[in-house]
Amino acid sequence: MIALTTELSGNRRLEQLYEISKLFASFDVAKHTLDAALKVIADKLPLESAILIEAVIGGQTDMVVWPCEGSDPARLTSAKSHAAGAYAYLVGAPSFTALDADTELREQLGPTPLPAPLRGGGVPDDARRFIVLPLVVGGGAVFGALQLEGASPLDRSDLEFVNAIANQLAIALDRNRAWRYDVLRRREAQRLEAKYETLVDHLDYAFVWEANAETRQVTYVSAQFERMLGFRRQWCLDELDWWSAHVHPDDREQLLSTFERAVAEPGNKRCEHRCVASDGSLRWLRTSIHLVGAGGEPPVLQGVSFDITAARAAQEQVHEQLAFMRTMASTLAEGTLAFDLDHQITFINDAGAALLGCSPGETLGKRSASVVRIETVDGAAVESPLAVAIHSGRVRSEDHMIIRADRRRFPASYTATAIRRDGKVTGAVLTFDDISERKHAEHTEHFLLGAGTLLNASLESAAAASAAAAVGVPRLGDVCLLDLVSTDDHLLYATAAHVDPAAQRDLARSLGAVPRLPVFAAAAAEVVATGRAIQLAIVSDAACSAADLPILRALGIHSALIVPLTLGVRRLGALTFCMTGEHRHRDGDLALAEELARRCALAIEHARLYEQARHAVAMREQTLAIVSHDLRSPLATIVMAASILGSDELTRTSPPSSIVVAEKIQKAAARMERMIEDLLDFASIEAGRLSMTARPHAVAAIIEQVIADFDATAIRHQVTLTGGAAADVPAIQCDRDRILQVIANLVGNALRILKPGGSVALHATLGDREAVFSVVDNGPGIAIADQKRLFDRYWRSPDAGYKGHGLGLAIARGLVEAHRGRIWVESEPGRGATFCFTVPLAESPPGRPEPLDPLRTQRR
Amino acid sequence: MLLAENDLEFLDLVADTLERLGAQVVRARSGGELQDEISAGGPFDLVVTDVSMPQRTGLEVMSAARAAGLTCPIVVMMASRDRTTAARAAALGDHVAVLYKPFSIAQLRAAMRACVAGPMRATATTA
Repeated sequence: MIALTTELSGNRRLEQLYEISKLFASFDVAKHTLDAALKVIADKLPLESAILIEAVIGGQTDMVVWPCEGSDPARLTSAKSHAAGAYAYLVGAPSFTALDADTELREQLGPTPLPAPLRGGGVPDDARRFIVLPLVVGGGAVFGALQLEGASPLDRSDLEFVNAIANQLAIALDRNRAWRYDVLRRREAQRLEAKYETLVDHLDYAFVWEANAETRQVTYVSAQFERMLGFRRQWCLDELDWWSAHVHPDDREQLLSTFERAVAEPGNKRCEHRCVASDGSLRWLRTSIHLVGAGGEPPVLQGVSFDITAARAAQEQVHEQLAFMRTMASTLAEGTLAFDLDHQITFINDAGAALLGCSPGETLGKRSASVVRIETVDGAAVESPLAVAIHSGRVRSEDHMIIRADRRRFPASYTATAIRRDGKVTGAVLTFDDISERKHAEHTEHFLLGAGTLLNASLESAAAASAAAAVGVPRLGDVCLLDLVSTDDHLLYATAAHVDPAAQRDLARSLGAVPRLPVFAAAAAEVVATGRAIQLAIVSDAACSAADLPILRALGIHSALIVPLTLGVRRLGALTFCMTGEHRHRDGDLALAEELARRCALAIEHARLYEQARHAVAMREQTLAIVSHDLRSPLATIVMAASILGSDELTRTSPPSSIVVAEKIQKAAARMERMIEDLLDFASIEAGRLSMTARPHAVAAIIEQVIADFDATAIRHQVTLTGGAAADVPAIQCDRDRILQVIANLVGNALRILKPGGSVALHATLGDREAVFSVVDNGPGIAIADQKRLFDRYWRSPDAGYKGHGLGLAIARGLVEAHRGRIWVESEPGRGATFCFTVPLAESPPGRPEPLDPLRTQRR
Repeated sequence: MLLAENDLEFLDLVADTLERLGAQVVRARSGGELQDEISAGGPFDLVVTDVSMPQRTGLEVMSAARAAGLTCPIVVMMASRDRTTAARAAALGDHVAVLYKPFSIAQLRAAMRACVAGPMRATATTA
């Protein structure tokens, strides 16, 4: 190296440096320039290799290697490795340790560059063959390194020279770097753009475009634009405002506002709009727009438009189906709820919301348990029908209660069905309905059925009445009072029922003592009179009489429901349902009470009719027994007389007067005839079809006729018969023969009972718009106990006094009542008897016939 | 004999006929008269009585009489076909005959003979 040093004088070195500086000044292409520069250096120095390492963008390094001719490849590799390691050391990579600083050199080279030229420390032979110089400008960062490998060791002057070259090189490289990297960047951008365009041109359902942010003129559009809309790309670029021209008029405003928003605010703005394609068809596009190009460049809007026509059509179809389903579900009267697998509500129809007392909006998304719960009537938990439906497909019930969010409950029928999509269960639908009314109707039906069974259990009137009072307790009242219309049209308390058996006894006693509760008596009478039910609300003190209060207070009654017992047009009585304590009548109780009352009326009437029928049968049997007995009496005479007339023995020994015997037969036969007549009369009276012709008749004439008829008989019985009518008695309206029959019966009885010397007086006086007939005898009289029953048919006094054959007085009563009169007896035992009866006065004088209503007889 | 009957036509007819046949007949027109005759009149060889009479029935009077020791034969005449009445008639003991109305004079005489002769025999009759 001494030779080199001596050969290169200072001037020559400067020349060489200048030469290199010129090279670096016209620095153009790095590799070319470097090659040239290294060649110059290699000409001046004995080099094995020269390696330049320069940092490029992204932390990468470029390495320019200049090997001398015929250099050993292994050696060159070693040099590359050394250069890389030295560069890493210079930029501070921690892994590099192989180098050692040449402190001496560093001191001589001054403050710049900082890291001293380095010498490889590996092999002693190579110790001074590598010079590594950092590339740095001013106080900047190291951006590269120049490694020179000498063919022989380099001396101090070589080092100075090389150092100067490195500085020149650093300056040249640094000056050139900005330009060189800009080209790189542009190339990279071009590469990316090409790649991007290839990409966007191959998008199936989208095109990308750019437009002037102010004018909206399209400056770029990707190839797919042509395929999607059928326009040439160039046409799009030529039009001033393609978007405005081709967006569907209805969507223009929306799209343009999206443009404006993209300009006004950062970020992506998006809208869905229709676009008219070249063939006039409409395409749905989803367009995203954003603003780019800050820093002086004119702002550009970049956008991408996706064709969503197919998706939109599918969506429309789904929407339409959904709308259809919702409409369907909404019109259903049944509540419908859909749930997903998390039991969240995904759908509810109007009926469902109404039934659950919530609004559809606030219900969606809630968990089912917070909106609807199901339990048994008794309040026991029920496994969620949704869960059951999800694992078993379907579940149905009519026996449970639905509990709303507001804790109200109603009996419901429901069906839960699993929702399946592609064979997978995705949720469940619950359809339900409020069956309160149906349940209520069922309960009512059961109640009435039970009541009917109870009511029909007995055919006794009393038992039927008790049942009628009891069936409504406690469903319609805690206390129930029954009033019945008596045969003489009075409303009488019949019986009562109390929900508490002990109180029932007290009630019977208190009601037994007081005929009835006055306040309810008036109401019950009104109900019976009008046939309409009355609801007495809270019974206030003011509405009660002093007599009521203690009873009402004792029973705790505060309100009452009074319904008539009606059968057709007949009113049989009333049922009074009283509420006590906390109990109140509910809606529908009135209708139920009326229905129950109808059944009670029927049961009571059935019992009455049954009793009447039974009584009638008993009466008929009794009648038959008596009639047969009574008829046998004259028959016995006839048979006996006939046998006497036909008896040989009697005819031979002491023949009787056949005339006398025959007379007896005739008389007995006549008696039988009368009895048969009476029977027919009585049957007519009983059946209410007695034939009568009523006309005005003078009373005096009737009395005269009777006296004339009985004159002979009275004389035979040695009885005085007198009579007459008071002068002021006007004509009576009657069937003359029937009234004669009544009087004859009474007079005949008196004549029969009287002993010789007795007397009978027949009189008529004026009463209140009626004539009063009286038949007075001075016979034995009638026991008080017998007087009431005297007019009953077939009633027989043990004394058998004032009657012929049991029917006479009963017929007399029937005839008098058929004339709308009355008949009675006044008597004291031992002091004779007075039979009286009345007949209404005629409204017109005698002789003018006047039609009379069909006469009716009263039954008992 | 004693004949009790409240139907006077029948009483007279039977009594007249029996008398014509040779009997001595005392007539009673009610239960009361029957009672009076039995306690005050008599003694009778035979009592013929209707059941259904005013005041007291024939059976009531005769039951009391039997209880009081009356042993004479009794013919009971009945219009009804009532079994209870017939049973009560039979309860009067021996020498009792029952005749159902209507009956002939021959049937009456047969019944009278029968009850005088033997223990109780109810003679059913129809004319």
